[in-house]
This record gives sequence, C-alpha cells and structure tokens, in this order.
Amino acid sequence: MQQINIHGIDLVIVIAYMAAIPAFGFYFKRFVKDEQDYFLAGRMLPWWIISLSIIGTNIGATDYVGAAGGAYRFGITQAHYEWIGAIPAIILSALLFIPYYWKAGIYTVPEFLGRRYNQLIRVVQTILWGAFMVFLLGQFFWASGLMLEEYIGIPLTVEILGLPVYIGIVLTALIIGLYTISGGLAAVAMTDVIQVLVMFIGGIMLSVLGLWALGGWSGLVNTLSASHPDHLRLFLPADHPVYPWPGVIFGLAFVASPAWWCCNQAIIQRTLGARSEWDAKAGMLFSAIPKTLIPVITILPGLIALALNPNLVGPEMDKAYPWLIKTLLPTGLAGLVFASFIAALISSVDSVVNSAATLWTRDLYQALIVKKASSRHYLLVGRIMTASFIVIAIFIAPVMTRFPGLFVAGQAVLSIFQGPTFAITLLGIYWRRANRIGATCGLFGGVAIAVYLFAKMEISYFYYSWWSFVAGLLITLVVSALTRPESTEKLEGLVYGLVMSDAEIQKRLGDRAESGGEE
Amino acid sequence: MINWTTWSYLALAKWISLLTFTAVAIWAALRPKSFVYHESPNQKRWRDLRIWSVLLLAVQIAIYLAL
Repeated sequence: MQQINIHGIDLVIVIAYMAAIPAFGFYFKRFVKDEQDYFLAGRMLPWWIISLSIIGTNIGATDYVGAAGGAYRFGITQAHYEWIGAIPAIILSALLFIPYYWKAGIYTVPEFLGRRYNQLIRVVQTILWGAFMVFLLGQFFWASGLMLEEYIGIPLTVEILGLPVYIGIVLTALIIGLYTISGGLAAVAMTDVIQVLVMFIGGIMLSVLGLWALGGWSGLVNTLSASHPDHLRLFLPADHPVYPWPGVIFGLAFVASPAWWCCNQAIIQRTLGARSEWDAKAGMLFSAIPKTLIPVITILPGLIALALNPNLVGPEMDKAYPWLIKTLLPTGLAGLVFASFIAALISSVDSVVNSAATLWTRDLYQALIVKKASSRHYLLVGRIMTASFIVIAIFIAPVMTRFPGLFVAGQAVLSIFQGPTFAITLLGIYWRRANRIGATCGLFGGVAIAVYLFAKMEISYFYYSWWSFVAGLLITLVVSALTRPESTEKLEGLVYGLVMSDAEIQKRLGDRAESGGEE
Repeated sequence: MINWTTWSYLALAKWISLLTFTAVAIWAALRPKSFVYHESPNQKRWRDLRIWSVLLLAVQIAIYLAL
C-alpha cells in the first residue's frame, strides 16, 4: 500500500472509532446467560440487524482493495460477485434453505447435515470449514497489521525481549476479542450494524468525490469508452483466463454462490439467531439490497482510478483504492474512510471467529467429546474456543505471509468442497430418497473430481465448483437410489414433504439431538 | 462451428442471466402466502417476501439490461 499520512482530526476519528466499537460490543455481555444466548444471540435478532450483519460478515477490508483492483484490471465484470453471483442465491437461501434450518432448531449447518445423514459428514464439514476460517482469519489479521502501519503509522513489529511482536495484529485481536469472547453473536451482530453504516458512508463519499473529479457518471463512461471499452462489458469471452462467461454463470452463479449463501456457517448463523422464521427469511432477503449496492463502494472506485490514472501496472493495480484515497480525499475525510476500512475488517473477523467457535464447540466438542453437560459448560467452552481461534490467528498471520501458498491452499479447499457440499445439502432437503451412503459417496466423490481437475487442468476455479457439484449430485443420486432409504421417522422435520407443526418438530428433533443425531 | 470465445456470444451470456433472474422471480412469486408470512406478526403488504424477491430481481434485470 502507498503511505497515506493522516493527522489531527483524522487520527482522532480513527482512535475514537476503535475504542467505541469494543465498548459497544462489550455491553451485550450482560445478556449472555447460556450457550443459546452466546451462539444464537438468544434467538432475538430482528430482520434488519440480521441483514446488516450478513453484509458486514460478507465484505472484508481486503475486498475493498481486491475488488477495486479487479475492476481496475478487468472492468465491471468484477461486479458479478455482487449481482448474479449473489442475489439469486440469497433468495434461494431465504426461501429454500433457511426455513428447514430454522425448523430443525440447529446451531450449525454441519449439525443439520449430521442429523439428515450421519456424523462423518458433520465432522468432515466442520473440519473443512474450521480450517478454511483459520486461514481466513490469518489473512484478515495480517491485513489489519499492514493497514495500521500504512495509515496511522503503528509499526508492524517491535522487538520485546528479543522476540518480534506484531503490534497492529495484537491490537486488532484485543479490540475484537474483548466483545466477541464476552458477548457472542449478539455483540457481533450489533457491532456489525454500526460498521456497515460506517463502511457505506466512507465508501460512497470516495465514489462521489471520484465522479466529481471526472465530471460525473458521463465523464467516467466517456473516458473509459475511449481508453478501455472492454472494461464496460459485463461479460468477457469464454477463453478469458479469470472470468470466462460460462464459468461466471455455471460455476459462480449456479454453484459457488448458492453454496456460499446457503451452506456457509458464518452467513447462516445470523439467521439462526432470528426471533422468528419470518425474521430469518426477511433478514437474508434484505441483505440483497446493500449487496446490490456494494459495487458502488468497491467496483466504482476501481473504475474511477483507471479513468484518472491508467498507468498502474502489474501488482500496482491492486493499489488502485489506496491511490484514490491519497489523491482525492482532503484532510478531515481520510479518517472516516480509514474508519470504514477498519469497520469492514472488524465486522468480518468477529463473525468468522464467532462462527468457527460455534462449529468446533457444537460439532466437534459437544458431538464427539463431552456429549451431555450443562448449558453453562458449553458457554464456557465456546468462550475458550473463541479466544483460542483469536490466538491461533495471531500466530498464523505472520506465518502465512512467509508461505503464501497456505492461503491459496485454503481458497482451493473451499472451491473444491463447496460444490459437493451444496449438492448433498440440496438433495438432503428436497429429495427424501437421498441417504447417508449416497451423500457420503457424493461428498467424497465430488471432492475427488475437483482435486483431479485442480491437479490436472489449468482452468478457472469456477469450473472446479461446477464439475464437483455435478459429480456430487450424480453420485448421491445413483448411490442413494441403489441403497436402502432412510426411515421416515429420521427424516421428519428435515425434508420437504415431511414438515410437521413447529412444536412437534422441535420436540422430536430435540429428542433426536440428545441421542447424538444418529438413529 | 460455433466459436464460443467471440464477443458475439456474450449476448447469449446476458440472455442466460436474464432468464435466470426471471425464473427465480417467477418461482419466488409462486410461493404460498402461508409460507412467506409464516411467523410474521401481521400480514401487511410490505411483509410479503414474494414482493421483496420480485423487486430485488427486477433491479438485477434492469442492471443487466442497462450494462
């Protein structure tokens, strides 16, 4: 990043913001009495908090820089992630998946798969998602250290007793840890609301100033039409190495995006904390509105930077966003935009930490190690897990920069298992004939196909998602059809066509959960 | 032989996108009333999630037609 010096009032804004967020989040500690309060916010979240928390979780600080850099490099096609690569999937999640998760009374998506199929699938899913989240946290923490160094001059490392201490990373961890460990999902969701508002205020301000400098929207379009006409095309040719249009539609829109919005614990957990099924569905749906507007604060600045300065090349293109801040923002406003960066970062990190702790507490510790203990015991374990994930992320962050392949591997794991996960979840809800043997074969078979493609073919990773989904779907269909169906009793309340009244469902599923989710 | 890499086939991509948005909108609009209002405190028109879905997809259709 380029050095951006902020002074005076900017620094005051940033420091005040960094102090206010944990203080606000810590307030919600008083409402946490048991594990349901901690992991699901006592099931009291209204739809509008859920929607803003989902967006806060979805958009990280690295997305600002990465998406703006992508728009600078490839053009408006980068916005597919926010439009066709999100909106249809959000609607499917709200109206197809969430009602079943909600009725099942679960805490996590792997828990649902465990009840629907078997414990093996639950544990495998938990380990894969948990590992991916640790990689993600490492990357977020490292980004926070760099940002604090570049923008407000906090050194990345200082030596204490001969050992390097990553000041910015530890500071971020302290801010997030203070309220995430104590307040759980309620603190995370409520702080996310504030942070999303700050994100949009800062981002829109930058875009407005950029358009102003270019003479308005028409100035931007005229400039790019003359110099980079392909950057205004929504789709790129099928032989494009990064965004081939068949990959965008079949891989991103039809598989990767529904998998992310329907099966990702960090996204779904907010809806499971809703005060009613309607709030859960409405919260997810309403998040589509800010999601549609995200390109205004990420893609548009990238295009504005290109129109103002087309001379960034190679890795420099990823500095389009910082370049715009440095060039456009007058003193007094940089602090607000930097606060929006911090907001984006913190709102993603706190959610991932909370969800990772929920997964490992519910789906590993409670499912395999201590099956029957008091609610307060699991609350304590959840807090210890949260603190552990934060500490692990502090240590893994610097390591990841020395081994950049680690994060690439994490991303590859995600693209490899997302397709089959979506296939077995979809069939699990909507095809009662799908059984544990079919789903297990479908999950591992789909992952095997994706690994084969990953190892043998240099293609856009959108295609890994598509073909691993197709393979997972077909294998589950065929193997399930050839093996014994599950009993009707096991499927009640979990599968389309076998939904009962809520009280009945909760009682039966509760009884089943107490016996470990197995028949 | 069809050359899928040329710009002319990008119109096909746009049409598939529009078809996808339309299909999801129709599907959402056909959800039963009891389903979309389930556990809603009242049945006011603004709480009808079918309307939310169709409006959201109409915005997408407008964006993809305009760009």
